[in-house]
Amino acid sequence: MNFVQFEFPIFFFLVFALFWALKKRTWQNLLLVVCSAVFYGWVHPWFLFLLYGSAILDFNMGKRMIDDAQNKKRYLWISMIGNVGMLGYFKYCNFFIDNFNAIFSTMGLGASLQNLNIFLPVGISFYTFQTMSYTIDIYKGELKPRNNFVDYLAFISFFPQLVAGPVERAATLLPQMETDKVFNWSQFRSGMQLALWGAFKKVWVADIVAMYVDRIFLLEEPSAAMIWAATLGFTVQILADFSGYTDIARGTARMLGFELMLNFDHPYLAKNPSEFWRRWHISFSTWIRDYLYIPLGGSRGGESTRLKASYGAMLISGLWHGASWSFVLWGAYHATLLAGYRHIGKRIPRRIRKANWMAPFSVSLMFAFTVAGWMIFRETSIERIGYYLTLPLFEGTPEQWLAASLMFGITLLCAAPLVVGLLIEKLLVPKIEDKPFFLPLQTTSWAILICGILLMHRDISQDFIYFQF
Amino acid sequence: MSTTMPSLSVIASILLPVGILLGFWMVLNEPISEDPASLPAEIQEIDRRLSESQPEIILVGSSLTNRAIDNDLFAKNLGLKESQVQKLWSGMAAMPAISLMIENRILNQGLQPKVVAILSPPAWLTSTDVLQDANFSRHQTRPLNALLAKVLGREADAAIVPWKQRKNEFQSGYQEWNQELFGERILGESADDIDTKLDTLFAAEKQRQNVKGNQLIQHNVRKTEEQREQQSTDHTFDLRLLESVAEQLKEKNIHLVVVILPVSKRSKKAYALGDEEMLQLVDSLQRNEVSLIDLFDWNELGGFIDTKHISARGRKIFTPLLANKWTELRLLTDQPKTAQIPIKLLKPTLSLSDDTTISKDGSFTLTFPNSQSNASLTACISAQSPIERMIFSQSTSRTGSTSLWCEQIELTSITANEPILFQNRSNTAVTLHSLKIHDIELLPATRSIFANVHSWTTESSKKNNGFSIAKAEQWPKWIANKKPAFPSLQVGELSRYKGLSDRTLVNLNISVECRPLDIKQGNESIELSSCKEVWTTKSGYCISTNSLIALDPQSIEWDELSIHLKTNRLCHLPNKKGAEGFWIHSGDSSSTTFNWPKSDYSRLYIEGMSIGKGDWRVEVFEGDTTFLDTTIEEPLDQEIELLLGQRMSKKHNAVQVRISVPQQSQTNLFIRQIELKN
Repeated sequence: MNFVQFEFPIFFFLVFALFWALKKRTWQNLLLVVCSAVFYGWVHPWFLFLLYGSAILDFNMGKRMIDDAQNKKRYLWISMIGNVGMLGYFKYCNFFIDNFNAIFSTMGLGASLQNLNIFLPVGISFYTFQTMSYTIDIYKGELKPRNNFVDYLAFISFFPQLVAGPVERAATLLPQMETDKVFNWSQFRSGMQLALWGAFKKVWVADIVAMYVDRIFLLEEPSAAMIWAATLGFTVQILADFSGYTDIARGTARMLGFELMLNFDHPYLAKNPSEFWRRWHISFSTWIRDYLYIPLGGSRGGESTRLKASYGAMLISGLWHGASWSFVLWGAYHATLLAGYRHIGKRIPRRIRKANWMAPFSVSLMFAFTVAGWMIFRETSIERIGYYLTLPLFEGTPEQWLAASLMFGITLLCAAPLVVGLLIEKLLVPKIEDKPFFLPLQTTSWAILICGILLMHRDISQDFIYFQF
Repeated sequence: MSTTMPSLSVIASILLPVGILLGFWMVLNEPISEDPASLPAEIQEIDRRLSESQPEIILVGSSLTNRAIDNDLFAKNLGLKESQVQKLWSGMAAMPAISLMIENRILNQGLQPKVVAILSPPAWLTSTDVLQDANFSRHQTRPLNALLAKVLGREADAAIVPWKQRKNEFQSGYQEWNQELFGERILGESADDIDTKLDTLFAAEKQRQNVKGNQLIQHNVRKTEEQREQQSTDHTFDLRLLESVAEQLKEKNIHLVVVILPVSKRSKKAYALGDEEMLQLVDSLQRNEVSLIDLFDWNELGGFIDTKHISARGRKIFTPLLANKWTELRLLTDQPKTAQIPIKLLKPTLSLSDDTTISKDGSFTLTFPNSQSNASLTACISAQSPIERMIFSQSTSRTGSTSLWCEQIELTSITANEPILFQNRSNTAVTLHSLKIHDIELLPATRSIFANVHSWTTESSKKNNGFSIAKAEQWPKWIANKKPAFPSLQVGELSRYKGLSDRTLVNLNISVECRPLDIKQGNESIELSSCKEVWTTKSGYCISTNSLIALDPQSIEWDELSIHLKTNRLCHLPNKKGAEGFWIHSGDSSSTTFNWPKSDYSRLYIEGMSIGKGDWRVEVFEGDTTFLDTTIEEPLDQEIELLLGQRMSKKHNAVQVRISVPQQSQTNLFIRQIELKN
């Protein structure tokens, strides 16, 4: 089920009502398990086998790590192989086959392997990472294995974040599953506000920009101005799309009494690459940091270890996004930005770093680098990326200039709600949230958001981009 | 027990949003009047266009219809005025939307065309699904008729749904407003100019082929989706809507024609109807005196821009074809021909053992489902030992060698369901490679193998010193006219290769990126562009027929310029695999290898184009064994199928194909694909 399907509000209303009516935590968690199964298996019920397979494997491995502590490394390996193997088969098998065939073809050998008819299960990249964090944390002694399978399954399959994150850690979400809940109005209000704002961003920003971006990226011979205007559009689209999803996930979870981690913290205001990754897809980047970057050496070794760890983590992070070399290139691009920043950043004199103009300059520069990265991300063919980069920047037919200008204008228009939202959140709300008129103002804004969502909702709405990762 | 009054803030926080939501819903859902003036602007525009033109023919369907037909060309081919043919289409319109459009936009508007044609792929003709609700409800300007409401399960909801109408209107209005705000107000362009410019820029033929709208859909998901589409046979089969439309039109004395639109080769399965369903459809059309033009099998190279939409090039070929069929069926006369069972449904059942080998005195039978006066068959056969005569008694002629040949069989007075026996009259066992009736293969296809396009090697070629380019003394008039606007314009005259200009390539659907010519100044190549690009960017070189057009501020030293054939004959286009190919010019001899064989093969299939007249030679061989060595005099026009001289068995795993063009021949071949078939 998709958050912007008409069925979802009805589904959520029923879950919400039943959840708070049940009162007893065991029943509430059982309800969450059942409802999550309905949510996830709505289109392809067989996807549930994979989800539960991964969950059962890690539940058992977690227990055995304690029961048979001497062999806990073996159990960790079984969990890793099981999860990574499943991810590898469903997500990367055809990618490997294609590359194998390409290598053989380059060598002049005619043998070719047939692609497998595999359907990528939605959310597999998210929940495998989430279940792996459970076993890794137990292995590291940072978490105790659980005996209550229902609580554990509710954590693994919790529907608001199951399909596209945030990638929650067992240490933060599992204890919430094990705590009795009391309905809280203020939690409900902020959850509702967040969820409606997320849906609004999806239908009013992401889906509208996407229509224009997709058309330009479909063209055989766009001009450079068109491609960069469309990439700027995509920059707005992907933020609105993914943070929109996360807001709905966090909002609905909060209405049920759960607090999911912040996933986006105004990433386009980052001043440097490290800060960008502390603000963008935070749950995933911290997962990569804790379970990949640090074990690979992280910042502990010398510069070369740090470089290796950084490239290793970012390349895998790129590949996690999709079975395509362009995502690997995107990972490499960000690893290079991080390395470049570390190298150059510390050489900038303190007086320049502290200059008044430095903050806006850094934000603008980092934004430009981020936009360039999104071009690599959006265009899945490496040859096409090369082609776009060789296009003369200021050339184009009058038709192409018109299209580029329209794309640019529409991007600005669509980005406006994001900017207004930010200003309201940062400047207005803190000043008025204690005033008596804040409550009616807030519920009125809900009504306006609902009207807006209904008006712009399309029958064939675009999937959330991160559903595919 | 104490009760506290809720504060004003709480009351307001409930009343305000409830009031807004109720008000919003009431405004959105306010009944829509059926007054034409209150219809959405887009619908009013359609009604106005149809009413003003009072067309003879209305072509109804989906975006597939819009892409498939060139209105003006169609009218011209039928000898009508342009305005006498009009299209009425809506995106993703299957039969429910089509019947709604016919009812609301034609019948209820009082239009009286001579013919209404429904153009659709087969599966959508019998579908009861509303594939895109927004487009459907846009045309729902009156309550649904009882049948449509029943078929869609909307009996309780047959009235116009105002909120859907208004929502659609708002969404399209918002898009228009964006365009108006940035295009008209800020850039100062007129609305018409914007539309024209954007239409030109985003024309279907300028889009990348085989790329889905959202390319972020992953590699393997995309592949699987395409496969799913290919394999899907899941569709509803309901003839009620089609029959009801036929009846309504008949009452108004309007003739109905059903045109079955093609989809691309790989999507045929997903949009096809089964044989039994197709027979039921034809039977229904016959009962309702509806005509049928079945063009589902149409398949033209470069004819589609994606899985189902016909390209601009395809449209130019498809439109006259439809017009021809239209004339054949006398559709504009008072006695139009009604639907006939398509030949493909009349194909016989073959009874042959699993193996295609027919032993001495062995046989196979064909059983036709219908009685027919005559039928022509072609059987291609091979034998281990030479056979010189025809092996079936019904055969009338034979072509090919003594070990691999084809027999032409003529059957007359065929009775339905009566098996016809074909007996091997030779003294040895033979293998049947192909058995075709009306170009329909009756034998199950085995796996063909392809020649490796990227492994072509040019074994020999003519010495290529290039030919001089002289400064043109007299410029073609159309070029001379451009001189005032392009002061740096200079023109040269080619002494050779004028037949290989970009225009010829475009006409033959060869990508201009594959242009075979190179201009050199001394030893350095000058990059050639398309002429459109040269005029637009106001710089560069291009070739138009026998003129070299140059926009160069520096004076050209014509003595230093020469024109050459490119040394690299391979045109490798990673992003347009279907457009790739290999050039073989006069004096060239080039060869490549095949993939590992998967079965026995009897025929060679070459796909490509030739430019210029002259013969060319094809050889298929492995070491000293020659399977084919033939000289072909006719030009290569899209495809050619050649019978091998002898059967190529599976054990031959190093087979090569060589194509050569003699020095005296003027032909230039662009080979896209070579395949060995059973």
